[in-house]
Amino acid sequence: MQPLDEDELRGLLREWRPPLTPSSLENRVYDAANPPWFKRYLRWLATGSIRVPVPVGLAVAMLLLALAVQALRAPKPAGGRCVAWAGLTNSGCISAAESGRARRAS
Amino acid sequence: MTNAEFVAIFGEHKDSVYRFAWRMTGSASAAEDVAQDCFVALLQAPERYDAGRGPLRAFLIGVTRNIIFNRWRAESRWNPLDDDAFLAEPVDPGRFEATELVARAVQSLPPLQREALILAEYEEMTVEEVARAVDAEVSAVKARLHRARENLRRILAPLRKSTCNL
Repeated sequence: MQPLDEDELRGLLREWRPPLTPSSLENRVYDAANPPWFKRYLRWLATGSIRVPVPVGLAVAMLLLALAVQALRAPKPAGGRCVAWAGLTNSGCISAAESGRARRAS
Repeated sequence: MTNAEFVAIFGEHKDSVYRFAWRMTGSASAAEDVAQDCFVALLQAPERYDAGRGPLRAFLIGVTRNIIFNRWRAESRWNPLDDDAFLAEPVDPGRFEATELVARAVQSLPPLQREALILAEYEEMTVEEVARAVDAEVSAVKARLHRARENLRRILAPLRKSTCNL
């Protein structure tokens, strides 16, 4: 089949007309550019970031590290009396039976 | 950018941005989404436009086509390598009206040919303006435009007789 010539093609292309630009577009642009505060807050929570100066970041990291080391090294609390049930006695605790015996002896 | 400046820019360019998006996507709702994203991008980062590099219209068209292509890439609907492998199939004039057939023919073109044709033919931009908008060499745009027209001549050839009957 013989292809169209330039004028025929141009004439046909002119038949394809676009719709009018919707009047809602302007409002949509402003709404998207200025969302309500809670949407901005949610977006910040989802995608936001905080810039922290390096010295502050390092100081916070070292503080957290020191706290973690201290927590690991601290002796276990001398837990007083605790009750351990059947066969689950730990060092530092006395079983319910031992506790009863001690009370009777005193 | 002040509010008054933005209102003036929006009023001047909204139609061409929307038309271009509509012709590229073939969907009114997608075109509205894309046009919205384009103007929001301008509002949020007006410094991205450098007047020394060309008119604002070409910049906005460039932003619009990038938004469209990014969406298509995200949906895996576009492979730039398909452009050269495209083989035009003539339309069947009995199935649709001429307007619908022209729309389908243009939208069946590979994206790079389609955008070049839409900008040159419908937005009446010069080849240099198109090249600026799509960030390509003038020679590349000329080649895409030539291929697009050749493809459309073949695709729409069956409409010749129908057009005479209109």
